[in-house]
Amino acid sequence: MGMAATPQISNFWISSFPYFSSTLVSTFAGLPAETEHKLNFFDADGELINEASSVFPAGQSNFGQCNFLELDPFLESCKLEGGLKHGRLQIISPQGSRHMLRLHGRHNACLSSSTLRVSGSQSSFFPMALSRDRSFLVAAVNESDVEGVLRVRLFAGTRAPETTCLIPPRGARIISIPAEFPSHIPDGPGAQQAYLRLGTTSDAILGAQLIERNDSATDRETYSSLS
Amino acid sequence: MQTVSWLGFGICSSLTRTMVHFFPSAGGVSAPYQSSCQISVFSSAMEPKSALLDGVRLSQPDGIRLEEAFPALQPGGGGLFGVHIKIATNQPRVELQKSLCFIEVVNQFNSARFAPYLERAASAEPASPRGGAAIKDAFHTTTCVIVNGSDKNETVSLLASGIGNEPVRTAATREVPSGGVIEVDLDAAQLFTQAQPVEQSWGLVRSQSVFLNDNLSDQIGVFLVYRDCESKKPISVCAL
Repeated sequence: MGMAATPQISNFWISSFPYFSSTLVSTFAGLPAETEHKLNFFDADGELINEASSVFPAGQSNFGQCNFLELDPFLESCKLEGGLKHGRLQIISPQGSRHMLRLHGRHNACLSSSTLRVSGSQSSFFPMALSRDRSFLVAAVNESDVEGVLRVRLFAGTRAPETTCLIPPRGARIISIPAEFPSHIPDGPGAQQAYLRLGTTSDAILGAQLIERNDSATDRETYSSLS
Repeated sequence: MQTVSWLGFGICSSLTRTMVHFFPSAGGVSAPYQSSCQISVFSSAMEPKSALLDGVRLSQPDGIRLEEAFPALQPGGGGLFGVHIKIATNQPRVELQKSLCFIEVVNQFNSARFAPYLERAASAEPASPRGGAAIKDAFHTTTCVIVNGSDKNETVSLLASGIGNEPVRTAATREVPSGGVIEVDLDAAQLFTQAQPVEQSWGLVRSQSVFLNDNLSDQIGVFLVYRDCESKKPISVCAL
């Protein structure tokens, strides 16, 4: 059996340099038949830089398999954007597949889900505790062939400033919260609970993921994401 | 649908606290209609408690630190507990199914933010198989948290791939009392004994795809918790 009639499509923000390595973790619960997974790698500007396909044969050996695929080799030709080698991974796979991304930093690793959908009929949000020790990145991807406009509104206290970001067709962009909203980062110790609301005014279908960098531990930084 | 609800869990200890974040949303409706959020906490060790949050508005994200709303969760009184979150609105013709909710388990050096299990309407189409990846390596070990939000005891089986003539084996079976929350150490349950180690760039990894028995009630939340090998603190959580 090849690809199922209605494949599921997952999108991930991926990065390989200089902060993370990315590894795709896939499971196929309840899929005893042959499964084929098509992977399309796009750079930050939306150019297709690599394609891959993984096929798992039918039979018992496939049932309940768990697969790891290190993605850095697929990003060799990825250009730098915003100081990062990053882009979008699109996975087309049979229903019942499940994918997660393992982001591996120098001192820790975390698991990240696929991007949250942002479209004209679907807004999204991220929680964050703004502080000197924690910095947040919003990794945004564009699943469409048209340019996307991502509206990012920060809810912090009684204020709600907003910024917008253009996401190239099929591409990705990084939004640094400390850089976009510097006046909202507390000067002193402690943290302020805040939220980001993500929406779009464009026809594009976008996705977003939150990456937190925590520097509160001496001599090591840790990363976490939404899973 | 004028209500939407999720089932999750939290951890309360001297070093760890839990927050619930929610985003009442009706898709394209941007008017800040009044909504409500009811949060309930429960475990076998305490009486169920609920709090109704006022001032919740459609399209405006909000959240609450559970230890503030539920003093019973102060360090020493909690541990692992279940969380039920329900968002509702009185507005007719407002569908809330595009609302979002995250639970954040916070310690000093890390936050594990995860999407709780979305409770489905009885009339909804069957969910796709509930499965995920259990991992054991130099960074992570995996546990399984089972939350029983139903009003009866439930038996939950965690299935995994087997060998030989037995393609599926039962990795762990636990009876979870109504309103109970348990955590299963998958390494101690010998989940990884049949998993071949695979060399990755960060070292050897043992992994096992796990999934749930089909006849499971929709009021059972099951979560894979990836804990730091040294500190045992949760790093990431994945709802099955």
